[in-house]
Amino acid sequence: MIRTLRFRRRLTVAGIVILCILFLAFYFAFRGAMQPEGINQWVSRTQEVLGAIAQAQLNRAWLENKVWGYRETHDPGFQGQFQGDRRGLDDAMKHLQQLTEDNPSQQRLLAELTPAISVYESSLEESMQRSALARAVDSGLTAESLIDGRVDAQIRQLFDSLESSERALVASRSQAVSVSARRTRYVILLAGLLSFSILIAAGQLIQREIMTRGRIEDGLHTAQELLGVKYEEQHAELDNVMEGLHEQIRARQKAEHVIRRLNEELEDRVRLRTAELQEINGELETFTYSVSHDLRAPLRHMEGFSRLLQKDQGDKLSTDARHYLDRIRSAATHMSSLVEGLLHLSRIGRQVPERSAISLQTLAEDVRAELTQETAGRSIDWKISPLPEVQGDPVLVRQVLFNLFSNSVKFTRKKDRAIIEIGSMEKNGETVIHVRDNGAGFDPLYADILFGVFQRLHREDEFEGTGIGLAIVQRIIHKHGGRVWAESRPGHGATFYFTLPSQTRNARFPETLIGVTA
Amino acid sequence: MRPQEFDILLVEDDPADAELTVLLLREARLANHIEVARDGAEALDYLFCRGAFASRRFDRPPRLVLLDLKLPRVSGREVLRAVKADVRTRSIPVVVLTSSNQDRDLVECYQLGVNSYIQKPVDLQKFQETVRNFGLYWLVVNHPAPAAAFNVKDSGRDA
Repeated sequence: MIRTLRFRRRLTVAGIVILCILFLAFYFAFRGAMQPEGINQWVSRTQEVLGAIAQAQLNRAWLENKVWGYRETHDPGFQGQFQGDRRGLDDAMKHLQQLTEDNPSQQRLLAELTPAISVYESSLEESMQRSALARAVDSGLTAESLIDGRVDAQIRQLFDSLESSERALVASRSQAVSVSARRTRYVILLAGLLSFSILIAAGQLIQREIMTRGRIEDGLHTAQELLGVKYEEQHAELDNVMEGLHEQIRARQKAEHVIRRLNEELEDRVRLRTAELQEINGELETFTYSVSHDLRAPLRHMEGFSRLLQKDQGDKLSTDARHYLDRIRSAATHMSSLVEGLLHLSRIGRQVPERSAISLQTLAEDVRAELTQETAGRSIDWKISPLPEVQGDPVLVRQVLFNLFSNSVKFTRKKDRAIIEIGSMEKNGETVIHVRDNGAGFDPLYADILFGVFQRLHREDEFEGTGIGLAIVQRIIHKHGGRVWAESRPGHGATFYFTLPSQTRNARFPETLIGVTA
Repeated sequence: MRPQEFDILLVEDDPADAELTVLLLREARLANHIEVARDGAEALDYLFCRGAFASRRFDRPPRLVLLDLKLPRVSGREVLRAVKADVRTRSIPVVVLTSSNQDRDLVECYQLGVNSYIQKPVDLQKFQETVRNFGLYWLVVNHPAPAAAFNVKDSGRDA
């Protein structure tokens, strides 16, 4: 910006200087050109002046001739012509006077000449008049006496002076003109040279500027090209990135589409399964209801009538027959308890566990008290460790403790001194509870099937049972989102573990299980 | 109080069950006239004095109705609903005597206004005890509604 301003200022100054020089040169040239015209005027004026001088001298000669003619002939005609020529001489003098008005030295000469001319004319006229008288008397007059010789010489001298002065004037003027012309040439040459050098300087300045600008422009071009290349590169890179992004978006959309479809399929499947489950649940309920109503009646009849038979006709029956009746009755009773167990299990299956804080300590004490009747006469060492609070359904968890304690009581029956122990530990937000006894235990090989419905690891004549109790335990614990397992060695007692959400944990029971029971 | 006039309506479709129940009731000397209805429709005829029982009178109702729930034609539940919906029969004590102890049955029966719900035990001795207990209670201990309770002219049903 500053650079451009400086350049422009320099260029302006150079322009103004060139203009001034050109103007001066023009001025001098114009003046020089005007001079020849002046010279011509002067020359023609000089010629006119010289002409007028010649005319006046001619007129004087003519005047003298007329005088000479009259003197010779006395022809009065000459007198008339004399007057005419005299007027011509006067006119010539007047003309001369006019022509030299601007020349004071000529005027001075004329001022001397004009009276001399007048004297000359008068003396010529006088001479003529005298000659007229002399013709009559005597004519002693000569030519020499025609005019005063001094006047004539004076006139001649004056005319010569006029002429030479005029010529000198022309010469001096020509001299001045040639000097001026030379000066003009020099001025023009100088102006031309100056203009030329300034122009060259300006040209150089411009060229330099152009070059500088060119360089700058080149630089700009290069920079622009570089920028262009950079831009292209970045554009390409951006394109790549965009393409990548598009790719990702497409992939994501595709994935989302797939996920949505899978979700829909899953939802459909869940709906289908739910419907199936609901149907199955309905059937199961109908079945359970039917079992509850219809399966018990025949058992009751078998039991009732065999007992009636035994009571009424017992004394008439053989020992074998009474034994068979016992078999029938106990079979009916056993089946009845199986039905009870199944119905119980099914009821728990349909139940949605409530969640509240339970004191395991209180529950364990209650259950132990409940078993007092069953354990009457037995020596059982109950070890109930301080137990924490857990979250769960009080009724169901109580059932778990009841079943496990009952089992322990049952399987320690053959021990002189039974030990039944319950304890707990906190682990990963869960409470792990164990119930341990020193009873019969079981073969760990069968630990997996222990919790199955109707699964028994002991013979009926060793330990009676339906095989439902542990299945109920497992179902209840699963409903609470917990796990249940057992450890044992035959003859070394058994330990049953189960987990429940700790009171501190804000746990939720798995909804899937609730869904099944709906 | 004349024990001879005790009338019991036993609604039971299973002959074995009916026989066993009647046997136990007689053993306990709690009824000398037991009417057995084989299904719900017959029970309703009896209770509402119509059909084969048209000659019966509303003001001579049975002292106790022993009602099984699972019955052919008209279920025990429907019988209970009809009895408890009519002012003329509402005052008759109805005891459900059934094999089931399903929550569903219990809830429905109590909502319909059953007077007692008893599950028949499989064990005969327990059954015997049960029959003796509820028989004593309903036929001896409990005061039945006076005849006026059944002599209602209006047979319209309450809501």
